[in-house]
Amino acid sequence: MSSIAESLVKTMEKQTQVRAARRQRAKITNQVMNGVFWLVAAIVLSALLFVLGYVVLNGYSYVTVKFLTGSDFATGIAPQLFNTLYITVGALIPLFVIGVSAAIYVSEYARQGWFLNILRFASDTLTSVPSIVIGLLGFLLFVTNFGNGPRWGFSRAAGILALTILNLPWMLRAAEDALRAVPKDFREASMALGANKFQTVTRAILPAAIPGLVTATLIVAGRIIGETAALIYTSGEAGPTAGWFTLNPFFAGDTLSVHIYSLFADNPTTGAYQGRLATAVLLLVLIIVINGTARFLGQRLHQRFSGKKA
Amino acid sequence: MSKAQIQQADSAARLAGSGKFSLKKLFDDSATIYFTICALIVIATLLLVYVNIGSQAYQTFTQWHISLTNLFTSNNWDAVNNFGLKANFSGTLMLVILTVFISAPFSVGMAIFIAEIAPNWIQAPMRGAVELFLGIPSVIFGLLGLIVVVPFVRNVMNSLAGAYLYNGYGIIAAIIIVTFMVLPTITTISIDAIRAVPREIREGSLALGATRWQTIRNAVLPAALPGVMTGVILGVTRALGETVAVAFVIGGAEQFPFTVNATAPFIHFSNGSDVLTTLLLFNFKEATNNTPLYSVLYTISFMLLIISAIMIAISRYFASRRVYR
Amino acid sequence: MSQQNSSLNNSPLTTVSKDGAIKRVNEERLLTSAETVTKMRAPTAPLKIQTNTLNIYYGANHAIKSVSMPIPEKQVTALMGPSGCGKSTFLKSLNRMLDIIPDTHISGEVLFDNKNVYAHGIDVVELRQRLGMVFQRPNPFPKSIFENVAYGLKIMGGFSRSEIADRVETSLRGAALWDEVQNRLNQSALGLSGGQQQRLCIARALAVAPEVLLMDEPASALDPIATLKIEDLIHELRQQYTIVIVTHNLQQATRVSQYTGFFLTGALIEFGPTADVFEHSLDERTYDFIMGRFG
Repeated sequence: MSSIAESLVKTMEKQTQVRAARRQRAKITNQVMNGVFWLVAAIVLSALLFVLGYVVLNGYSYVTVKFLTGSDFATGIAPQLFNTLYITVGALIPLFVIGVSAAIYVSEYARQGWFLNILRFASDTLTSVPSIVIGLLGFLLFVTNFGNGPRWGFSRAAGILALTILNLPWMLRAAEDALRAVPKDFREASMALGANKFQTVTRAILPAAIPGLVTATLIVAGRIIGETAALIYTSGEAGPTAGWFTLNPFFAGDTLSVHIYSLFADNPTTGAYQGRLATAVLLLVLIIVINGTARFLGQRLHQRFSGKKA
Repeated sequence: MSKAQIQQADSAARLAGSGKFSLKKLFDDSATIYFTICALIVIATLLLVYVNIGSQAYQTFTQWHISLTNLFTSNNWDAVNNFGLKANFSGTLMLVILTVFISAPFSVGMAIFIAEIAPNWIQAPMRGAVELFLGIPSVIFGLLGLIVVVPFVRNVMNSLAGAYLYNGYGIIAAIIIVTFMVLPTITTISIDAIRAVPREIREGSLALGATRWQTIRNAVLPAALPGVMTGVILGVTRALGETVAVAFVIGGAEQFPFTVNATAPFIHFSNGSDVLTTLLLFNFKEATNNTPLYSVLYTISFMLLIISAIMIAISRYFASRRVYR
Repeated sequence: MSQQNSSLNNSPLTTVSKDGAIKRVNEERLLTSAETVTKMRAPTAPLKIQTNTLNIYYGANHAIKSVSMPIPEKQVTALMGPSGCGKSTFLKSLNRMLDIIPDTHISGEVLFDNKNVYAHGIDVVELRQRLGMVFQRPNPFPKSIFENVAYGLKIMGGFSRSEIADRVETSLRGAALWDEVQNRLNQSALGLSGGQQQRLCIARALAVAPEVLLMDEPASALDPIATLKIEDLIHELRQQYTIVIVTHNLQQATRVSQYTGFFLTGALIEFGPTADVFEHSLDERTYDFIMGRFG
């Protein structure tokens, strides 16, 4: 064997050894990374459990009948429960009407083109607006008359309108998803029977999309209930503790979320700590129930349309 | 009636309907107009926000003659005559950058775990947990920050300093809290981006002798990168706009988040600072109409609008570069 | 032909209705009526792969039933059969790509150069580098053409930049794609046509210098002209590589392969030189399939 051939064989042998070592290293890296990912997941999950567990374990004992039915600033929550319900339902009505209608426009009527592009741009940009800015806008437009003297003052109506502006793009997006989940065949079948567009929308698409729209509405309801910054300067930081049991939209009122903030910011001498934790427990339970229901419905819906499990 | 008769009657009815006034057609046309108007409302809402905030913001310069450079370069804020935002800008910048830098690796790691590594039976509950996390309101995070994070930061920093120097409020507590808030945002979007990468890409890589980690790093993640970046940018937007959770822990003092000086430990974190959003929240209470403060606060709002809009433009750019949906 | 016709008439597996039409026969019934013994005409060429009583289960589903099959070296072996017969599963078991499918159980052995690939201590990563795979649908990575071919080399590591460039060119030439892409190596692979993408995937597999190419219906997603190019390429590649190709297309099997295995509901019914299998089927079911009676 010539020396050149010998050295070639040696190089190849060495290369084979190097490759084997590299493969070994790649496998070890693979194992290490596997462990890293399990660790990351464990850390993140335990952080979540900590958040939930800490609030619930420290706060649940303060949730008493007296707390739920009382209306004093730090020791009762009845007005906040009522306001939360009032403002959530109040904001969901315009959101549902406009959001679903605009979603119908996008998914059923709109053609690709400049108008749809502008609409998408507007919707995306609206989602990015910080909620405190919407709060200041609501103050400007609804609480005061462009800053010049009062209009409605701090009021549930102002809060409802601020939340409508804040959540409109989210409602549009969620409703659009619900409408797009309706299989195309429904539209074609309806159109083929001679129904016009409006009939197709009202008789074929909307009924099929109802579970999806309920999910969308619940998701937005969860966002509304958790919102704080947009409400502090619209529906007011701390509502009156008397006379709140009224449907008057021009009455000021703080929701559960705002209440936690005002118990922090106004720092009453008694009951702030207990009040905050107890309110937080209620808020968490409410949000989890609503989002859990939305998720459950969403999965059921997915199964119904796709015929398989999510 | 025979089949032929029915057909005849039908076509007669159709003939009568065409070209003449028809209630059905009227409904159809007005519905089209109605749905279009609702779409226009969405666009109008955006204009409403920008025009009204903008017109108030404008008065800072026209009515009160405060210059933009003054806002950016001065750090003297007394809410009456001096409106230097430098300290708040640094606070916001530091909060956003550090928050996203810390949470992005964890989020993407979490997304990879859920989408690629976790056994099937864990995947759905894990995803549910992350979405649950996403739904937790910012006041809850703020409250936890106040009760848990502030004392934690206080204890750690004071024991590091060896003296009672820190009260725990300030940028560090804010970063910790917002990191947790941004995490589920980036994670859920990254999961979707990774799931959208077709199975064939993974098979192609594995069949070439790549390990699972090599497949994730060299094939799956690059393919999912534009989607992951969309998530990261949305995380930036959330950190930028977050107000209430930060308000609980930031301390609300118009000073730089930290100062650097010659004595150890060289970087001194401030007891309380501020970011742009909390500046709005804390100061708006005292602001009355026709004062420079009032206009300046709307100017800050408008700046936040602009920065957020730029972020959305960037995320739309990344979204348009997505290969798999 | 006449001999085969008479055997068809005697077959208990087909039923002839009153008007003389031959009805398709339920595949499950076909299998229950026969055992999993293969009608084998063993190849004379040296073997690269040999499976021995290979059984594969997906959960409770018995996907591959006691298959013993020789795969001769530097020949093209076609696996054919109706869809769902297990031919793709069998193919994926050869380079252990089944490992990534959960709830899969395998018994029996796959001998590759006389070593069982399912034996303890086998390096799966090395195995997959030696048995390259081309998939049903072209699956280029969303990277440049160059990066796609270089992918396997970078995974292996230890190649200099010029070595990689050389290997990329050789592989692209080997896959008959070089002339079409040499001026746009840095453009995205997703911009190529379907046929070009599939040849790119072949080049990608060739780059890591495999000994065997496993092809899972490589032309099923392509138009006839692109299919022809792939088939020409297979002819070229046979000089250097052992090729196993799953195909749904009978003509393709006769055009490209030297050996053919016929699968039915997970069992290997017949194996032998392609010409023999097609012209003198030893099993009624092979004959029925070739005549287009089912599948």
